[in-house]
Amino acid sequence: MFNQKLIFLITLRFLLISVILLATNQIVNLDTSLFLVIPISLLGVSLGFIFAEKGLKLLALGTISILAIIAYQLCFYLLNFLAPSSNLFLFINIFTHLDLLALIFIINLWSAYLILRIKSYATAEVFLILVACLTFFSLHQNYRFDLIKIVNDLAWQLSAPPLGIITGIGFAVISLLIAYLFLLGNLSIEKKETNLVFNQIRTERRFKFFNLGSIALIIGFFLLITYAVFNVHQGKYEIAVQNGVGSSNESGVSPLNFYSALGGSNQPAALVRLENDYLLNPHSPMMYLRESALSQLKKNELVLANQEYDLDVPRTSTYQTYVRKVELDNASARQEVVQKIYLLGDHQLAFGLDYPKTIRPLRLQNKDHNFKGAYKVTSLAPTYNVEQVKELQLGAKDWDSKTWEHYTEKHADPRYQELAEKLTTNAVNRLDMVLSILNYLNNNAIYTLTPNHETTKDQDPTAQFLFGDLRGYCVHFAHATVYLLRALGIPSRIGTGYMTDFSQAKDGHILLRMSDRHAWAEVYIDTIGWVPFDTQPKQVESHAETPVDQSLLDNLIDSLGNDEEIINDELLDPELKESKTFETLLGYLQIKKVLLIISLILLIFYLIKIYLLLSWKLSGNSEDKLKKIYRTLCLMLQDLGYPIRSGETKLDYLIRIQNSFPVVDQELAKVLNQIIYAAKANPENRSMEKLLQDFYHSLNRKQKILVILNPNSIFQIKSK
Amino acid sequence: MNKIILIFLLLLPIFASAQNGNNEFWDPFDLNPTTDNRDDQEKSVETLIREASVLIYDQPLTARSKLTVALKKDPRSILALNMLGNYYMTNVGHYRLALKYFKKAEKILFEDFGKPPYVDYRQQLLHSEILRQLGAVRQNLDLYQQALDNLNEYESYGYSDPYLQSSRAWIYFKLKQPEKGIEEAKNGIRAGSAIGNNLNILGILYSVIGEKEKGIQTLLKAYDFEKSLGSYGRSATPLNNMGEVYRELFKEDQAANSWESAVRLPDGCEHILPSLNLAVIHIEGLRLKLAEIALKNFQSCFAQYPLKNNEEHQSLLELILARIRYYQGDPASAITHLQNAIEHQQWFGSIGTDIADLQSAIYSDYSKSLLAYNNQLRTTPQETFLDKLATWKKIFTNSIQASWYNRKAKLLLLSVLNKFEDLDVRHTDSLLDYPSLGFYFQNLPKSTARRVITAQEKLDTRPNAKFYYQTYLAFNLAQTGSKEEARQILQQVINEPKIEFDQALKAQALAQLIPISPESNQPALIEKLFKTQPAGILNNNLKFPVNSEGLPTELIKLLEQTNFDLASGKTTQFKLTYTSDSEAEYLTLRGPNNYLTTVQGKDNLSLIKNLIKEIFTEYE
Repeated sequence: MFNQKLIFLITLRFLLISVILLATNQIVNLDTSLFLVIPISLLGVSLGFIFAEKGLKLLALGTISILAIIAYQLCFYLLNFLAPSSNLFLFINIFTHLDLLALIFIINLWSAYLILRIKSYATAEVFLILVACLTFFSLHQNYRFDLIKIVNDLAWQLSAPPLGIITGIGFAVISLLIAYLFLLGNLSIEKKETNLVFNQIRTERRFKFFNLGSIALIIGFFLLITYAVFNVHQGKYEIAVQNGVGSSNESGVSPLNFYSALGGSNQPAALVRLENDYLLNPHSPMMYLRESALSQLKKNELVLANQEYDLDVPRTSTYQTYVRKVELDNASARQEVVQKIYLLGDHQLAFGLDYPKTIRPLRLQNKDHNFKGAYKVTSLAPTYNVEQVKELQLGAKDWDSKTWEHYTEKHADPRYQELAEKLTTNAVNRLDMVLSILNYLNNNAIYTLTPNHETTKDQDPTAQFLFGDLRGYCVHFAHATVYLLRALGIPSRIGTGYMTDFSQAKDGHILLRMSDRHAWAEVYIDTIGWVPFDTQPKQVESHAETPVDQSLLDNLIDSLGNDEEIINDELLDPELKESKTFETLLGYLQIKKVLLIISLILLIFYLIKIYLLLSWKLSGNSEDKLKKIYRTLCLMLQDLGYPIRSGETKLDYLIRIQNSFPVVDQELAKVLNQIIYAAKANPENRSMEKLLQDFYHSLNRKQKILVILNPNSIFQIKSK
Repeated sequence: MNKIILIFLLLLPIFASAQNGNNEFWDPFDLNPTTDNRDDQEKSVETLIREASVLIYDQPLTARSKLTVALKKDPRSILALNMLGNYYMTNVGHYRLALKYFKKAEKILFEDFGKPPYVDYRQQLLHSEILRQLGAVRQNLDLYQQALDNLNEYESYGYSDPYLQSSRAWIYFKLKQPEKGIEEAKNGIRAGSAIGNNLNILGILYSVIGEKEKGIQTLLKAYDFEKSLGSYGRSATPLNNMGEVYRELFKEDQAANSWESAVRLPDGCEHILPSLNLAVIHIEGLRLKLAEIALKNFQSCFAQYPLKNNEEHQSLLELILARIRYYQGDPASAITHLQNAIEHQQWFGSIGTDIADLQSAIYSDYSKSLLAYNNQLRTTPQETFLDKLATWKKIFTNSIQASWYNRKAKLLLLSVLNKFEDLDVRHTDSLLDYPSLGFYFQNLPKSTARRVITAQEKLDTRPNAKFYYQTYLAFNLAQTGSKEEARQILQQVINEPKIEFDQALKAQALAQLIPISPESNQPALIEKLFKTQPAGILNNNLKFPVNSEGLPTELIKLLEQTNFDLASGKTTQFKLTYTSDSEAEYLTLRGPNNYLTTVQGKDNLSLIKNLIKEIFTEYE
């Protein structure tokens, strides 16, 4: 009854619609069964194409649609009268589903009809789909991947970075639409009806580029773009999403960034499990998990000092054992708190409550999880109270002058000194000074993730913040606090890591997100140690505060098994083990990447190759088919080592190769010349097809393999 | 729950000796079992369990860690598994994990001692405890049929528990089999077990089947009984339920009194419901500040349960907060709260309502808030063309979302919730915002709406409920062309003195009435709405008449884009005056009864935005 190509067209369209519906259902949950939605779409698509193919006019379809809508409404009103009062709600319920089905049916009917009727409709439709996708996925701007639930879910299920998922989705959507357009463009419905778009497609030059080779190249091109986009953003994302707080273990370097801080990401970074109660937390409900400390002033920023300083910071990787060698002389106001930290994102350095006594990697027993590693930290966590702190001296009594200088080194800009002195005029003691500075920042500065300061390399970004518009984020606040404190001779530094709200924890499990990355000022207090003095600005322009995903937290708690420590033997040299592991890991990742790229390029080449070898089978036009058979034959010969030479005619070429392949007939060249140069040709397709098949069968096994696998001919298509 | 833990702890020695190969017996009279300074890894399983059972109150995390170490040492320790399950159920509220531990304990019990029934008393105790815990945790997970099966199985082995009947009656209530529940509760009372609990559930069930007065009397008995138990009694529960029945009977004062008393009781803090109900009734009366205070009380109550996180009931809390923001004229915040409500998990095992009730309420409020936000966007002046474009885009996407969520809510109400049982105004399980429920009727055929309302009015004869149903019908009539009839109904509703408590309904009725009233009547009605709920003007895109004579032309141009009606404002008593000085510009609105408000701004636009916020909204 139907033309085969029409059936193919319906199938193609139906497949696209099904993919769209499945994706939509995944994202918004249609609430109406897909077993109803998909068949109704098929019906709409089929009728749309059939109406178009039968030549139904636009006006006629419009009339039919309006009549159908009226009939539907009438039916609704009629049934409404007939429905018994006891089942009235059931009736409304059914029609609520039917409304959606009717809408889907009408959309499919019209879109299918218009594809065959209006030349640019298919392009416009694809454009609309792209716009819809872009609008939906645009929520990810500023690296807020967590705002798109499906991206988050997929990233979680596949244990892949959300950036990879979103670029992957982008690539998949574009490839799908290109493939759809290509297949659509290669169909021609052989019907005498003149006004069908697809009857004209083959003859229009602008559609010529739609061959599989070019499509594969376009897809390949998009793949490369996707890969490049992923790589470009990966670096930025690492810094940007972490409130400007990166990670580094190199002395003289700062992991902080003054210019990029987009902190709203809910992306999970780690799960912290407290193994015992920490009831005397002086910062409750907040908890500071330190990763590193910056105490050395280097021009306009604080950087990691050399190993002589900040001995309380382990500077250990997450898979390395650490045992504190230096005994703390200030352990009195501290309590032992054991934390198990399960990493969900990449971390260079181990973090934990200060001061870590030991860090030991853990072997995860349950393999069905998303954790990238785990370790156990035993810390001597602070338990001092505010009153206790007030009575103590700032700085350690036993520090030598070099250490004092190190932690009180002032910024060269005299304005810090002036401001600090101005702010602390009424301070009774040095602790009062600290609080005066914090109060000033809390009351006057504005917390924003987009301070948009324009600073050159030589300028001081903290000065721009502090003596400028007072708009900044934790990095600015922490630097400003430390510079002002040091201007008053108060030993201070910046702590970096995570700050989390323990009230969002469950059963002692804290889900750290990227948005919890933080930098804060610390002051050394005699007999207690480094104490965080963090700012809490009253004016908040943008904030990273989002509720913890409780179902995720529940799932993570569920997935934790009983973990065991990898290394119990403290004497084992951790350094050696670490570097080897790291190198191997790096090498493995690099090889994997290269292999992936090579495989993808090869895949694209062979898709093109398969198309070139078999495209004549798809052709409905006799002349075109003949040309393609000829092209296939030439390509085969090319791959067998018989390329066409420069200036050689087709006839000369065929004569040349006839010696090696007697099957190749001179007739082929003659017929082809007729097609190209004569106004009307009468090619004998069947004999040409037979010639091609005979040629292929005449080849030995080695030659056959060469014909299939040699990609050389792909680069020579034009010269034929 | 504390009693259960106490009983459980007393039974620990017997459980401990029921374990295979466990020779170390726990001495319950050892008052200081935590003096063992050895590392946990070096201690025996029994020592760890014993220490955990003592520490579970003050240092729950340490206790949990000890139990996990015990389990690591002996993965087949039924006692450790059971205690961990109990810890997750009681201390953390992580029911799924608790279920996992209980099921594992049950499996090991069967493997070690074979299938029940057991002859050995200690094995019987272990089995009965696991079954009871399984029933409780399944109930918390909303798995009512399975919970019922557990309790029936529990009884079939001859195990006894004073709470058996009341638990089963509660489950029957959740399974919508109130008659069976009543029978069960009565059996419980006859048997003299957990009388307070049984009376309480009996009162609820009487109310569910329509015997409200009988329900109140029974709940009063339950309250008296619990009160007689002194500090052990849980009198807040029947008081809360009594309040709910009073609310259904439109006795708002008594309902509010009950809930206020419940919140003040020692166990009142454990319940979200009195606070939540109090907030809802304040919202219905448009006493929005009081509603906020009620919710804050609840939040501070829950701060005592740090391990549970603020997750428990967070969805409910976000929903009610959103509703307050909506009526205060801040639909943007309402939307954020509702998005949070959608994201959060909520279990209903111990609450009368269920997940579909919550979802339908969240979706319908979400839809309503999106539309209100659109209305506000439409009347917010935009500076540039790009701003206008962005606003149009937002309005478009909000409209689609609003209709989508409205559809979702409708489907839930019609299918899952027993053919829109929540239409019964102030239905005890429902969380819907009844004053604005008329939105559902707007798109129905007139005859359908009429038939639904007529049928409902026959079923529900409460006089005050009638005003609600009539308002819903008027929503439909106004939309389907019968404006005159709609006008008459709405006029009746707003002039009805009986709905003094239902200010939110009155505001909704006024908002519907204004567009279908003759133009000459509109200013007076709008002023009435302004007095009832100022934000109603913003949320419903209505125009507030003001006299703008003497204002600068630029300001007038901007005002024309907003909710101010300058054309018909000449006759109104509300007058705007403009002043400025070197620092800022000022707008003052004067009205009748000494109404006076002044705002300032840097420029015209900020001045107008501040004015709108000041006079039409009630949020800080």
